[in-house]
Amino acid sequence: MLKFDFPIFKTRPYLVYFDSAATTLKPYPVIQAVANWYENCGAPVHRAVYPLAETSTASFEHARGVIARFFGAQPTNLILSANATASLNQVANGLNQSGWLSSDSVILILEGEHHSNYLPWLKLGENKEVSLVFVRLNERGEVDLQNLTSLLDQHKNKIKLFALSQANNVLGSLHDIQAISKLVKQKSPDALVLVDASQSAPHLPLQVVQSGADFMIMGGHKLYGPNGVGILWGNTDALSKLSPTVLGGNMVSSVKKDQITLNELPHRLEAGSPNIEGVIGLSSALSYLENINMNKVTEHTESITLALLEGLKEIPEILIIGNPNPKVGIISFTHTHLHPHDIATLLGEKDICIRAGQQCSGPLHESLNIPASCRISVGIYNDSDDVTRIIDALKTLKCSL
Amino acid sequence: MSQTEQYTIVLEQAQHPEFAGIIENADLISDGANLSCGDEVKWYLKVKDGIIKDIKHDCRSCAICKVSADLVAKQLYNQPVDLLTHIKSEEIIEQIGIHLSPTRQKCARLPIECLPKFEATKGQEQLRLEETEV
Repeated sequence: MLKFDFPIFKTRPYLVYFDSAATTLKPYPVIQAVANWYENCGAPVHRAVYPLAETSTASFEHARGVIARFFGAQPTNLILSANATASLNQVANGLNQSGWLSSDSVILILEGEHHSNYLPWLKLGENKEVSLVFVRLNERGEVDLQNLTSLLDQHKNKIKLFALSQANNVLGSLHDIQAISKLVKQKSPDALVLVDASQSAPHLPLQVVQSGADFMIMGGHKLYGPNGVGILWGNTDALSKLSPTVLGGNMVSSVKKDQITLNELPHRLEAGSPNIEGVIGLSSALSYLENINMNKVTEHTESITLALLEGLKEIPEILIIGNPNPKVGIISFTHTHLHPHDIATLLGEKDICIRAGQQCSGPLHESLNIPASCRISVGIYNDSDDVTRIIDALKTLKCSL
Repeated sequence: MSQTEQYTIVLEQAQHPEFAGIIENADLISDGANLSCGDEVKWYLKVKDGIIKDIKHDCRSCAICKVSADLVAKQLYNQPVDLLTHIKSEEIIEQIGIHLSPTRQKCARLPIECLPKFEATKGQEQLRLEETEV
C-alpha cells in the first residue's frame, strides 16, 4: 500500500488522484529531504568557502550524481533547470544561438507534441531561422516510420534535429526511441534526436545513453520530486553545440571587462542560483523509486491502466481517444453528452481528480476535431479501489442524465 | 442541496438553452475562445433603432459557459444596445447559482468577454460596416 508513503492521503483519505501526468503527489522522503535541507543547511552552493556552504555544495552535487545514476548518465552531462519547458527552450535557443542552425536547416517535429516541445521550434521557424517539417503519427498514435523514412530521404543532410516525446501526453502512446534514433542516424548522421521523456520517465526504466538519443528532457515534479526542477541530459557532443542562453553567475570561470571564459559542463549551462532543495528532493524521489524498482512501477502502471480501460469500456457514452499504451498510464476520452470540464467538476465533487481541457496540446485536439478532452493518468499510489471509485462515478454521471 | 445536485441542475439547464442558435443576416457577430479548455462562443445579434431585437449564442462549450451565455442573452434581449458593455460577470456568476472556482469562473466570463463591441452613437449604417470587421 504505497498510499501510506504519501501524507496527502492521511489528510484526505478519500482522495483519488488521477492527474499524475500533470504533476505527482510527493512521498514522505521527498518532503523530509526538502525540510531537512532548510532545517540543517540553507546555505548557497558553489562559491562560498565556509563549512555550511561546502556542505550545501556537496549535498547538491551528490544529488546531481544520484539523478544522473538513475538515468544511466554522467553527472557532467546532466543540466539542471527550472522545469522541462525551460530545458526544451534551452536546447532550441542554444542550438540557434551557437550558429549550429541556419536558414536552410530542417527540424523535424512529431505531430501532436505538448506545447513545450512545439512552441520553441515554432518560434525558430517563424523567425525564418529554420524550416519545420511535421512527422506523422500512425493510427496507433505512434511515429509513422514510413513517413519518417521518406522525410529523412527527402531532406537528407539538411535535417538538424528530430524533436519528439517518448510518450504522448494525451494519447498515451509510446514511441520506440532506440529504433527511431537508429533510423535517424542511419539516414542523417549529423542530425540530433531530442526526446521529451516527461511522460515516460515516471513509468519506465530509462537509460539515456542506451536510448540512442542526443538530448533527453524530464520534469522533476512528474517524478515525485518537488516543483521547479527540470532535467536536461545530453551527450557531450550534443551539449557542446549549445550556447548558454542565460548568462550570469556560476556559468563563467572568469570575467574581465571585455572578456568572459565559460565554465565547464554542467555549470556552463546553469546560470544563477539553483533550486538546491528541489534538486535534493528530486534525488530522494528517485532513490524512493529505485527502492520500489522501476520494473515494478511499470507493471503497476500497466495493471491499473488495463483495469481502467476495462471499466471505461463498460460505459458506452465514453469514447477513448486513440490506443493508449498501458505502460504509459494515460487515458484520454470524451463523452457523448458532457463537456470534459463538466465531468472533471462533477468528479472533483467526489474528491476524484482528473484533467480536463486541451492538456497543452491544442494542435492535436484541432486535428482530432474535439474542443477538449478528459485525461486520467496513473501514479504509483493508485490502487484497485481508485479504479472502482472513478468507474462507479463515471457510471453515475450516465444515470444522472 | 449538495453541490453535485446543484451542478446537475446546471447541466440540465445547459441542455435546453432558450437563446441557442444562429441568426442569418445578423447585424452584429462576435466570437471568443478559452484556449486552455477549448470553450468557444459565437454571438449573433439583430439590432433595430438601437434595440437588440434578437440575440443568439452558439456555444461549443461546457455547461457553465452555456448557461452563462443564456443568462446574458436573457438580460440583453429587447434591451438598448448600450447594455452590451454593461453586463456584469459577478451578477451572471451569482445567477448561475453554484459555487464556481476561479478556473470555472473563466468559463462563465467567456460569453461576456466576447460580446460584440458597439458604439451606440453610431447609426445602423455604421453597424453594418462593423459586421465585416468583427
